[in-house]
Amino acid sequence: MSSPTRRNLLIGLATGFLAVVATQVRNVLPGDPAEGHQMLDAESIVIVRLLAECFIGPDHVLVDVPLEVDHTLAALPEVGELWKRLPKLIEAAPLLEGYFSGFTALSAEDKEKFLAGWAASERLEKRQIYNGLRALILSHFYFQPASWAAIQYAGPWVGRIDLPILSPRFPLEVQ
Amino acid sequence: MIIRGSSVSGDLKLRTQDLVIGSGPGGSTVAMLLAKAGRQVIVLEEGSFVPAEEMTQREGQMMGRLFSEGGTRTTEDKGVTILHGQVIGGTSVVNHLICFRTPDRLLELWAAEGIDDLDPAAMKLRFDRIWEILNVARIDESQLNRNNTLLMDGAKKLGWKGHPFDRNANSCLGSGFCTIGCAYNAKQSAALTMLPLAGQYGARVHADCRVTRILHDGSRVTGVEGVVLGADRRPKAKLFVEADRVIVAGGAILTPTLLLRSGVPDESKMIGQNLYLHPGSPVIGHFPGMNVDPTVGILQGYGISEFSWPLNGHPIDVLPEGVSGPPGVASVVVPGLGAAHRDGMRQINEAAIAGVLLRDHHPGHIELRDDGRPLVHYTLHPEDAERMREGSKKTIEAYFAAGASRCMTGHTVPTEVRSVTELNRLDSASYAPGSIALISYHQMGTARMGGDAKKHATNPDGRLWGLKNLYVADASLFPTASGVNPQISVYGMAMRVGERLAASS
Repeated sequence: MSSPTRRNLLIGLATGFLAVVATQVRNVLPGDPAEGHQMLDAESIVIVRLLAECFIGPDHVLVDVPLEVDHTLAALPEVGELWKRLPKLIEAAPLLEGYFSGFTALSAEDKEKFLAGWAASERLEKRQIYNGLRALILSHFYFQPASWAAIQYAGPWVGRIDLPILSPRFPLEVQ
Repeated sequence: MIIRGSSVSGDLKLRTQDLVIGSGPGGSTVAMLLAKAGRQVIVLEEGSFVPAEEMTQREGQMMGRLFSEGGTRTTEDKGVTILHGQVIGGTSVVNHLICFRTPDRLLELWAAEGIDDLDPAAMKLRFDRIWEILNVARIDESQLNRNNTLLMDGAKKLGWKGHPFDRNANSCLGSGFCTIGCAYNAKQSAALTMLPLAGQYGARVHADCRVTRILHDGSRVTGVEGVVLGADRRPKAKLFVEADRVIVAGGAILTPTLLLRSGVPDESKMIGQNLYLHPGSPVIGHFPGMNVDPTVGILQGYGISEFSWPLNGHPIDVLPEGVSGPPGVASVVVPGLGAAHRDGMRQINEAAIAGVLLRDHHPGHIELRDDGRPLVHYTLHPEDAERMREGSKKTIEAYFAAGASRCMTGHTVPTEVRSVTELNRLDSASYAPGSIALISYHQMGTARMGGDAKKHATNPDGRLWGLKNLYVADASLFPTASGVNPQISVYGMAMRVGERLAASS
């Protein structure tokens, strides 16, 4: 290959690479919240739902996990602003790790393999994001009554077992 | 009297002799003693008043109402989840009621920092008084749930020391929701004991009040400023309180944060340093065919004291305790993802869960974020991690002695042990941040007390060395980690500070 042709090819490849990176950088920025949500945009909702499928399995459909997560992020604005960026980060990450698509387009097997890789990663940041998303998604699924039958959890006593509230030992005046 | 933020209209401007910031065990105890001594006392609490009638036993509803930052606070490296209450009554509303009198070994260690009147005989008088106010009593073994008896059975078979806990309960029903507030007024939290007593003596407790700054001239404090929070937890009015003395008791995370934010003088440079977290890590034992049902009953009832330094002089210095919680919390502790996690959750009724409480020897520190919130720097030190590993192995041994078929730790990459001969599997397990689930319910040490202005943030009276009338009265005072659940140590240290403040007024 002649030198000018090789140079043009390299320039073309570099331009293409930069275009892909620029697209991904733009894509990881959160968009406007989806209808009925206060923090997550439509794309993030899809990513969170697919993450829920990975972490929880098929039962994830019993709970609208993205909506529950959205409620919590909205109630904690200081931390919510950071957390709402994570789904799109997950979407972009496989492309940088040798996969040929974003997270949402991976096969179920590759999704689990990708996440397990982050769980065991030497990179602290990957373990942090993995653990954070895992805790957020699992807890918001198991917070909800629809998830309890499968684990034989009877749920709160309040509203189910009629028990009196004890009178305080020391009187309490509230205004 | 407790005054909710919702009953305040317009800016809140107050004047008092003694102002207490924080309504947990520390703040409520000082408030009670000062009010009893005839002082004008105002208590400010950022959290809300949540009565038993509003405790729904639903995690998703209560975590945000009862915990600081909704229970999402972590260390900067995300390695440790930090839980502390932010509600009238503080962490005593969301703890598991464990009552340990500060062990004598620890009192001697702390007294060596130049703290007088900390001898076991003097502290016993305080603990006896606290015992009575909090209605503390030892659990009978017959009251333990299966989750705790399995740990006890294992320890007994191995000849290890251990015992059921003392708890501050009144007619506990064993519903199993201690983590998210007691719906029956059985838990004798500060909100039901010290604060009402303080109120009887005339103290006024303002809920929903966030103090943003302590006002001082470099030698004396004049008061505080802040905001009153609305029902949406956003500021709705300004707050200003003028006071002769200010006592900060916001816990070992928020107390130093407020002090640092206020730019108080600190020759020792110890405010925010010396942070101990008592990280706890889960061990799960599987008992196929047995109905363990760890989510019901007295959640935390038994501990193995054999390997505790404060209780038994043991160098591993850990305290394995039987503990559980509702499914949202449990789901984070159960390892794995996908099918493995689902199976783990479906088998949770056949699982016993313990937390290995580590008395950390290597502290972290707190600094301020740009927005004034705390940034917690703490990474489990390799020496502490080794002791945590040993403590986990001992807990697994106890479960196998009790008949477990397999045991798991809280590692991100699931680590399973099927017999005691496989305990060496833990040798290669990582304790680097994010590799193991670590939870802190006990934060301590960030304004440590002692006799040297160059080494300690606060003097033996609990006063900041650099200011004439600013005091601390919470777990921030501890010179080291306590090694046992610290609730009673906080009440005890605060009582000691409160007595001195009452005597000097």
